[in-house]
Parts: sequence; structure tokens; C-alpha cells
Amino acid sequence: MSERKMLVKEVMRQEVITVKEATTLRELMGIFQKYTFHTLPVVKENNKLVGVVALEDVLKIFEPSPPHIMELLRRIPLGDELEEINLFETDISPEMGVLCVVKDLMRTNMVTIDEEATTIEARSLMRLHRLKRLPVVDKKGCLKGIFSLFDIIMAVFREKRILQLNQNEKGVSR
Amino acid sequence: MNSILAVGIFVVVGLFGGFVARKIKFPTISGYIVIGICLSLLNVIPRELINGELNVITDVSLGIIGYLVGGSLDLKRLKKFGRNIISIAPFEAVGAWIVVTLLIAFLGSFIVKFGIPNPNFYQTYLPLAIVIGAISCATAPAATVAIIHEYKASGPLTTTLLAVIALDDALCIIAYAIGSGVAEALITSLKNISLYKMLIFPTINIVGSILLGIAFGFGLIYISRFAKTRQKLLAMVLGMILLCVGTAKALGIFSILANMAMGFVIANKMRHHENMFKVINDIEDVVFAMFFTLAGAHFDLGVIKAAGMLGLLIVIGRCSGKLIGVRIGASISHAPSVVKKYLGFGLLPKAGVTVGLAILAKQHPAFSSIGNIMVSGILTSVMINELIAPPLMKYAVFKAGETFKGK
Repeated sequence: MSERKMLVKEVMRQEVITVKEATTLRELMGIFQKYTFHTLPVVKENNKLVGVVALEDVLKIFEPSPPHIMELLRRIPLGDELEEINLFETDISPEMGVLCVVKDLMRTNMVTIDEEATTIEARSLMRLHRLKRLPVVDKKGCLKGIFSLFDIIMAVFREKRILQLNQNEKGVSR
Repeated sequence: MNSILAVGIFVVVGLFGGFVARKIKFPTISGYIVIGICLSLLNVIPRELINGELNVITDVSLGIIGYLVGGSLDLKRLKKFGRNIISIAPFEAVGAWIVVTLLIAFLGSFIVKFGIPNPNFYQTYLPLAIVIGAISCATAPAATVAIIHEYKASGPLTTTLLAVIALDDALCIIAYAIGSGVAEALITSLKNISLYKMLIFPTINIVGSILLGIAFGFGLIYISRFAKTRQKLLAMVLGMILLCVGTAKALGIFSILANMAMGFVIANKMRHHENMFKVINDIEDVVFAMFFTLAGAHFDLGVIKAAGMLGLLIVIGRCSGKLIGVRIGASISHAPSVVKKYLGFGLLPKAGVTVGLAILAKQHPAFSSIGNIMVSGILTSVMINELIAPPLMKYAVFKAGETFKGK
């Protein structure tokens, strides 16, 4: 018997913590410190998704060259791999906390999933790109929610009625 | 010695050479090539193996290199850097091609001694000059990238330089396709040569290679949607590169150009194409260690005397051609004066595609009489360039005031 295909929009989380392009590095670090997830969608006023910023992207502020030079360096074939930045030997000024904003750090070529896609499609996309969270967008590219591995597990548990049984047991014991 | 043992030696010893090169601030590729030359001088790997069974390494590696070069040609990004790049890149590439060709064609008979009876201008020196000239278009990014990174360089010179380098290898592959076709026509059909004959076969070959690459590119885009993990994606990408190389060889067309076209289609027709190139990173080290060490092993001690002078001539011709080409291209596009004055100095390093194409030319049956001297000459010029290019590049970025300290 074939099981019903769950859609992303049925299991995604709709309450999403987002940041704006103008959010400062200090504010961003505050959000990362407060929440457990380390990838945040970047949206404009109309909730249009313009990028994502991850904790690893913060490392970009230690890079010696401007972002467009770094992008060119990474894309040129047969170049030596760029040496990893030594975090312990960097000289960054305290002003960077307010001077550096999310727009300088975010990735604009992010992987997203349509809200009408199935959870199976979303899972393969996550495995292929080695991602744990995917921003969910509508046809216009506006952010609708976030889809994560946790949401899949919860949905499967609900589907298999494991969570429901658990709740029933609680009801009986009460 | 069997071929598997030879490959093992190339990988292990080559990687060690690459590691030492990085330690002394030289590009990894140079380390591989030097180790290869040492293996050749010590006669560790039999010559019949280097020129025979191990050719398959060259074919596969050049397929991968072609695919990566095509992938770096992102049209949207190139448009962003504007007319400076579109004008400078062809001029500096063609400049190097023309000057090297003229120098070798006319001075070749004085400095290169061939082991064949009656070498003449049209069948020996001119084809040699055309092929070496075409291969001289390429620019290696490793040394340039290292210097930009080390001195935190940024500004119009740095940006233009990186964009031109990204375009340069692609231009070189196209130049090689044209040049080798013309040279082959010169060598094989001197008696009834016509301009039509000389151009029609290379044109068919080039168009055929591009069409094959486009077809494989769209094929790869289609099948890649079935890849659920990166490992499977790697298998698909590598599989398609091998299929493309094999088909091109079977059809007698340019496999490196076909693979470049495939990479170009992926980079410009697929939305999330980054993974399609990143997966190659996982195997890049082992493939390039094998390939460039093998390339170094092609160095022939027997022809070193003649190749030394030829190498020097290539360096002089290439440097002057690049500098003149940059001046002309930059003047036409009204580029900033720092670009006009100093860009040429940043385009002097060469290694990867240059060495690859030299080995490819050596394997070409029509070039059997000029292949050895050509590879040794090019390898010598690569070594000279490795020594002189980094200080000149450093001079350019400092003079342009684009280093962090300069500001």
C-alpha cells in the first residue's frame, strides 16, 4: 500500500527567525547565541527571501580580500586551495561589530524548496547539498517557513502515530 | 615496472613534491612537475610506459581540466566585469600567440636541431611555432592567486587580472584547437595545400567538439537530477567526463574542448551548479598529482640543450606578446592606467593548461617529429616562468598601489 506523500507546507515551521540585510554582526551573533540553529534566512520588507546567513559565513570577516575578489579566487580552476584562516591570529577591530552587516556575509545563491514540494524531494535536496535546514518559498520567492530534519522526524512520528500513542498513554496515566 | 606501480609512485612522490612546494611558497603544480622531472632524470619510470600505457592518465586529467575551465566561464559574472575584460583577454592571448609563433618560426632553425633529415620551414619550424604559440596563451592562476592573497591586494588591477585569468585558459584551449589543426594540415599535406583545406578540418573539429560538449552538458544536467547524494553526483559527473573524452577520441575531435563546452553549459544553464564542480574537488588532488608528475616525467634530458634555448625564446616571446596585447586591449577599452601599465606582469605565470596541452600535442600522431622538443621546450619555459613571474607580479600589485600595505 502506498503511503500518502507529505507536502513541505504541511510539516514546515511557519514561525521563522529572520534577519534583514542591515542587521549588524553584533545583533547576528546575539541571535546565534540565543537559538540553537545556525542558518538564518535574510528577507526584505515584503518577506522576499534574498539570501541566507550561516554561522560559518561569519568567518568571511577574517578573509583578507573583499568578497568579490574572494569569489573570483574560489572560482578560478587549477589554483592552489586558499589557506585556512587562523582564527587565533586575526586582527579585527571592535568596530567590526557594527560596521559589518548581514549583507556583507550572506550567500545569495541559496538552495530553497517550494512549499508545494514533497518532503521526500526536500530530503533529497538536503542530502545532496549537505544542508540541515531549507527555507521554504512560494512561487513569488517570498519566505513561507523553514523546513528541517527535525520537522521530517516529527512528521514521520506523527504519521506512524508514535507521538499520538505517547499522548494517549499520558492521558491514561492521568 | 608495471603501470600501476608507476601510477603509485607518481601519486605518492608527487604529493610529497606538492607539499614541499607549498612549504616554500611555490604553487603545488610546480612541485609535481619538478618531482616528475627528477623521476625522469633518475630514469625511475621506463620511457615506453610514460609515452604508452600512461597516456590514459593524460586523457582523463585533461577532460577534468577542460570541464573545470568551462565551469569558470560564468557569463553573468563575466558581463559584470565589462568591456575591459572582453577587450583585454583576446588581445593579450593572441599577442602571445603571434609573437611566440613569429620568434620560433624565424629563429627556430638557428636554435633547434631536429633529429630528422632536412627539416624545413613549412613542415617543421612553422607548425612547431604555431602549436607552441597557441599553447603560450594560457595563464596559470596559482602563483597570481597566492600573491593576491598574501598581500591582500584589491582594486581595478586585481579584479581585471583575476577575470582575465579565468578567461585565458578557455581562450588557450580554443587557440590550441585552431593551431594544432593548422599545424597538422601543414605537416601532412604540404604538396597540395590550400587555405580552404588548412582551415576546414580544424573548423569541423572545433564545431564538432563544441556540439558534443553541449549535448553531454545537457545530458549531465538531466541525469544529475537523479543524484541523491554527493557521492552519486561525483560518479555521474566523472562518468560523463569519461564518456565525453572517450566519444571525442573515437570521433577524432578535441576532447578537452568538448569537456570545456560541457562545463560551460553546466555553469550557465543550471541553477545550482556549484556542486557539479565542487564534487571534483574530492578527487582533484590525486588526479592532478598523477597528471602533473607524469607531465614532468616527459622531460627529456637528451633534448635539454636545444630545449633550453627554445624555452628562453618562448619566455621572451610570451612576455612581450602579453605586455603588448594588454596595452592594445586596455587602450581600446579605455581601461584605467594601472591596468594598462601593469596587468601584463600578472599574466606571466603558466603551468596547468600549458603543460596539459603540450602533452596532448606530443601524443598527436602528426607531431611525432616535433613532440619531444616541444614538450621539453615548454617545460623549460614553465620552470623559467615560475622563477621570474612571481617577483614581477609582486612588482605590479605594489606599483599599482593595490596591496594592503600600499594603501
